[in-house]
Parts: sequence; structure tokens; C-alpha cells
Amino acid sequence: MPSWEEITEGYTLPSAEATPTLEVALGELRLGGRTAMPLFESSPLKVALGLTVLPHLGGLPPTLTVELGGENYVPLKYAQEAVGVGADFLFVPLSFEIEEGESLSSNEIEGAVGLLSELAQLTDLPLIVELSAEKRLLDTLLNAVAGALRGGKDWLGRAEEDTYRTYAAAAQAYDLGVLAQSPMDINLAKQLNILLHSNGIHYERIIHDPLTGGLGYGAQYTFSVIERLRLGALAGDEATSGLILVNSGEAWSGRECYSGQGPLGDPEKRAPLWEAQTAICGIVAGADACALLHPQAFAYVREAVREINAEPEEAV
Amino acid sequence: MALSALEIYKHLPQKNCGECAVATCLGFAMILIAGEAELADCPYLTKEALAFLGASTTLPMRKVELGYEENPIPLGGEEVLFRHDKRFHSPTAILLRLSSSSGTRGAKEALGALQNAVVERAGEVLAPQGFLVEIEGKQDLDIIEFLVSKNRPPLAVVGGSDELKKASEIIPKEHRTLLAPTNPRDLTSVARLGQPLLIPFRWGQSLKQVAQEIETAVDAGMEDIVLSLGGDWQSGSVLRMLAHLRRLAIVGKEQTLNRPTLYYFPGESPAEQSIKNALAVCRYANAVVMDSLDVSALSPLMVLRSELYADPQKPIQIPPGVYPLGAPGKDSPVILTTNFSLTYFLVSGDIEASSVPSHLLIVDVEGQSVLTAYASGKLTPTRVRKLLESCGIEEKVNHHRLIIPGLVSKISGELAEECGWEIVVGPKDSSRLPAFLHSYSSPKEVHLG
Repeated sequence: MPSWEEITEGYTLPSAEATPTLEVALGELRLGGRTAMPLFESSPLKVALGLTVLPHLGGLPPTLTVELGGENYVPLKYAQEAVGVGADFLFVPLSFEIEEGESLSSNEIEGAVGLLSELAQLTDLPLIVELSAEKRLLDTLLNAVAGALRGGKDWLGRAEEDTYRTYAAAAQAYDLGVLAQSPMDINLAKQLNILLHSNGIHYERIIHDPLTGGLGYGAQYTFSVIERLRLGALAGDEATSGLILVNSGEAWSGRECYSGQGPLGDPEKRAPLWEAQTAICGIVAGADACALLHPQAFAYVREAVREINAEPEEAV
Repeated sequence: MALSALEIYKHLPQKNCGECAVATCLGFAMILIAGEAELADCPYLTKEALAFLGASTTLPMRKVELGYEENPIPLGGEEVLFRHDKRFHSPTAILLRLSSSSGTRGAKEALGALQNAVVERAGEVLAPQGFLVEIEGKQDLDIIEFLVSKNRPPLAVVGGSDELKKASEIIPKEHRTLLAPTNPRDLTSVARLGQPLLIPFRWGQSLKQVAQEIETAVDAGMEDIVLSLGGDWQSGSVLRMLAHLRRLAIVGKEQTLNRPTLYYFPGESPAEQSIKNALAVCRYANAVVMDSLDVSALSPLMVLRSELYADPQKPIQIPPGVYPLGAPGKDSPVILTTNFSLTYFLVSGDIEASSVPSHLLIVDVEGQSVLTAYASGKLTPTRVRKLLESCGIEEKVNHHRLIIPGLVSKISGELAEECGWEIVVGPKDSSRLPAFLHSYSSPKEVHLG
């Protein structure tokens, strides 16, 4: 078989000067270090694929609840399976919602800390932990949660415009990476990275989720924001040259992903494809890591990436 | 296009006659750049100006139109590599493959399936574009006759040169159908049939060879050429080649290989094919092929395509009006939000998640989100009053209570005065809607509980 050079002889493109994106370790993987947009050059499509480990299955669509084990769901057991199917990292969303005027119960905090400690013992894979909690709760929460994570390995967020200082302080105290999130806007994404940086967090230690829109619910905004962040980094903008994460589990916040029969087809078959294509959209735009929720969506994307990176003779 | 409006203006007649439907020549130059006018719209261009501007305003990538002229299916003609630079123009066509061996019965089933695979969302109709018919061996062409009789001639036919010749006689002349000779030696004879040509780019062929084949077809009189890539390629190489071809056209200004592409990976499950096609849609394929019309594999692909080809400069808007969610009745809550598609999807999703049947009112604020619309003065009490009066909500409910987004609580007094409705301030974040609606719709239980 002829080589790429032989195939394209006489029809090559001038090689553009590009600043490589930052090379960062996520567990065993070395991510980043890109010198071109995905599939614009012959180097492999480098992306870490993680599985989301939920503390409980409350509030999920029935299709997903059943798929994840239903009443028999045990986070630790599920995490074990995620490790078994080759997840590159575990994504752990922890949500703390309380009514105004109330305070967090110590049970809730202990439950979360317990889960994180158990996960840290279960596997060497990096954990990316996403706290959803109002700013006023962070003082109580952050020390406990950060203390349960492993310095030099795990990541904690989500640091936003109004909370980045608190997260930056915790990340420094416990040597954690920071998961940052901005609302689908390139300027706000860049600004948040700069703010974190000026609060002592190196760009290598930031993984930025520019907010993932599910298919049909803003995936095109995510696609363009990531492309612009990547192009900016390749043109030499250090503030956007760190890791980018997409959370394709967001696909499930649109009801067309999983609802009813009808013109959209069998929801059991459609939903994992819906999520997988949300993931693909982010990966082709230039995301370095993708957290998936549905195990079949994970399997689809993993296989697609494997095939893309396979040598021609293994492909068939 | 490389020229600025001023540079173009220098070559225009500068008489501001308005016959091109724009008041001034400078205005015409500006809409030329935006791709909203053609040089032919100006009746007074000199030959020299036409030649000069023609060369510099040609699209860097060629466009091939399929189907009937009244309702063309364009492939290619793209100007940018990244949608945020301007926009993508021609949404990737999705073709359903039919084999001649499936006979007219198979074609009938497929036609039914194709007509059913139509999804309406956000005011847009999503559907596959038509059929790619593969003629295996020396078969009769009943299947093509059948499709023509149903007024759905195939958009592409793959076969030997004799079969393609017969097919071109059956397909109406005014219907543009891609013809793909299975044997490269037949390129010249098939190019003379007067229909656009689909040239296979096989794994292992060099771009030089492909360019030669294109030149052969052009010499034989056919300019409309699409390249097909797929099955025999390694999946990463073919995606990289799709990207390389697009970059050659847009960045390299290459004039021979700047053709639209068709991506076809046969022999996979509908799910695997859907995933592969999604990658190809994200990486510039102008047409993709599905072997089966399994709507569950097709629907995500159609939505993905519609998203990436949406104009990034125009927010996607939902038509204003009343949207019933979950079969609401006379005493169901009435909730207001704006016509930005993401806002609509978020709010309607959260209302559905609450399982409280509701009337969702969509007010036209030119596609802005709630806070942006408020800040830009588009979400006004007058607009809301006009909507309440015109949308028919008065007949649908027996109350006058309107729930408004918490972010615009400031306008509640003014709004109540303008509309005469009681205004209830809802949550600031739509994710709080389920909790809000539960306590709102059954206040008694809340008191008891």
C-alpha cells in the first residue's frame, strides 16, 4: 500500500506554523500536544474517554436507569465495571441542593467523601469530580471533598466565574487539577482560565468544560466554541492551550434523546447513538477528554476512535 | 472570495441604477461578498469586469446540484473550513442505498420507509434526501423505473456502463442523478450521458490519478463531478482524506480536486454506520449513505447535520405562539419564555420533566435568550400583550395567571398593568421549574404537607 506521502504527492498543503497545545498527563495517558485540528494531520486522534459514575440514579430517564442497573445500582460496583471496559478516567458528578436557610447535613457530606475515598482505593484511574453546589456551601464542602482525593492525580471543579478563587485555593492546598466550566462562550472560557492562572493554577492543571450542548440542544455551539479555542491555542494563545473536556451525558437533558417511539425511532437504540454523536461532535472539534454516561455510547465512541487510530491492515 | 467590497466596487459601473435590486453599487458589492447576489444580477458589467470579478468570486469549492431544478439538493460549494468563519451552505445529503437485487418490492418498502423518516423539529423538516441505487451485474432496471414512476428518481446510480446508459434513458433529463461507473475505463462514455458523475476514489489511488480521472471526465464534457470514498479505506485515512480535500480547495485554492465528496462505508450495522457517518458529517463529507432506513440510527444523524449546517450568525428561532406540553387543560399553568431555540428546549424539557401539563408561551424577541432580550429591550410588556391577544391562549384557559422567568421579575408590575393578567414570578433557572410547578399547581397539598 502506498504511504500518505505517495498518495498526496503533488497535492500537499503548505505546513502552517502552529504552537502545540500543552501536553498534559491524565492518568496513564498523555493528552494534548496537538499541532493541528483533529484529522487534519496523520497523528492519532488523541482523546481520553471516561465513564460517569453517579452517586445514585435519581431523576434519570427510565431507559438510562435500567441500563445502569436500576434498583441494583451500586456506584462502586458500577465503577469497577467502568474500569473493566477500559475507561480512561472516572467522572463523578456530586450535586448538593438545599433550600434557602438550611445547611448541609453532615451525613450528605460524609456520603460523598466516603464514595470518593472508596473510588480512590478501587482504581488508579484519575477521578474528575464535578461539584454542583451553591457558592455558600463550598466552604463546608471543599475541604472534605478535596481531602478525599489524591494529589497529583485527581481533578476537582466545577470552578466558575464566581467560585474560581475557592477552587483555586483548594486545588493548590491538595495538589489537584481544576475542572473549569464556562457557559458556551470563548471569551468567558479564556477569561476563566486566565483568572485561575493568576490565582496560582498552571494552565496544565486546568481542564476546561466549555459546557456541552446535547445533540439538538446546542451541540453546534459547543462544536464552534471548541474549534475556536483550539484554533486560538494553535495560533499561540497559551490561555486556551490546556485540556478541553466535553460531557456528552448532557445529551440526556434533551428529551428527544430518549423519549417515546414515533418518527425518531426506537429510544433504546436511539439514545446511545444520540449521546455518542454528541461526544463525536466535541471530539472532532478538538476536545481532549470526553465523559460518557451510557455504557453503549462509550462502547460506540471507543470503537470509532480505535478504528480511526488503527493501522490500515488491522482495520478490516 | 478574496476581494473587499471596495475593490469589487471599482469594477462595477458605479451608476447606482438600482436594477440589481440594491440601491447602490457599493451595496451590491457588499451583498456579492455575502453570497446573496450574483454577478449576473448587474446588467451593465463590462466583459473585462465580468471576467475579472468572475474569476475572483468563484467558490473555492465546486457545487453540484442533484434532483429537480425547482427543488435542488446541493452538494458542496463551501467557502470556509470552520463554520464560525461564515457558515456551511449545503447540508450533507443522506442517501439510502438500494440494491437492484431487492427488486421493486424492496424499492416499494424502502420508499415507504423514506417517506416515514421525516422528523419535524424547531420549525425545520429533517429527512433523508433520496436513493443511491446499486445495480449488481446485468440486471434489468425495474427498480429505477419504479422510483421514476413514483416521482422519486434515484439521486445516484452505481453500475456498469450499459446499465448506466439505460438508467439515464429512464431517468427524466431534467432530474440530475449522479452516475457512477464501476469500471474506471467507462468514465469517458458515462461522462457523455449528460448526467453528473460520481468518480470512486479508491484506497491506494494517488491524488494525481484522481485528478487525471477528473480531467478525463471534464474533457468528455462533464463538469459536475463528485468523488466517492469509503469502504475499502481505513476509517481514519478516509476522514483525513476528506479533510485534506476540503483544505486543498479552501486553503490551497486547488482547481481540479475541489469537488464535493460522498462517503459510503457499507456492510456495517445501522448503529455503526450512523456513528461513522456522524464522523464524516463533522469532517466535511457532502453526502453519506445508509444501508438501511432504521430511523433510530438516522434521527441523531439528521439532527447533527442540521446543527452543524445552521447559520452560526443567526440564532435558531422557534415560531412564537402557544405550545401545549403534556395535554394541558383549562386550569393548567401558563408559562412565558423567549423564542431562542436553546431557551425553548431547556424550558420545555424542564416543564416536561415536571409532569405538570402546561401551556408554554413563546414570545418573539428575535431569537434571544431571556436575559439578553431583556437587556436589549426586546422583551417588553407590549410584545407580551400582543402575544397574549393574538395566540389564542384566552380560549384555552379559564384563568389569567402568567408565570414569567425569574430573571425578568423587574417587569412584573409593568406587565400586569399592560396585559391585565396576574403575573407570577417563576424561578430564575429553568432547572428549578419542576419543583416550582409542583408547589404552584397543588398549593393545597403544600399547605397540608
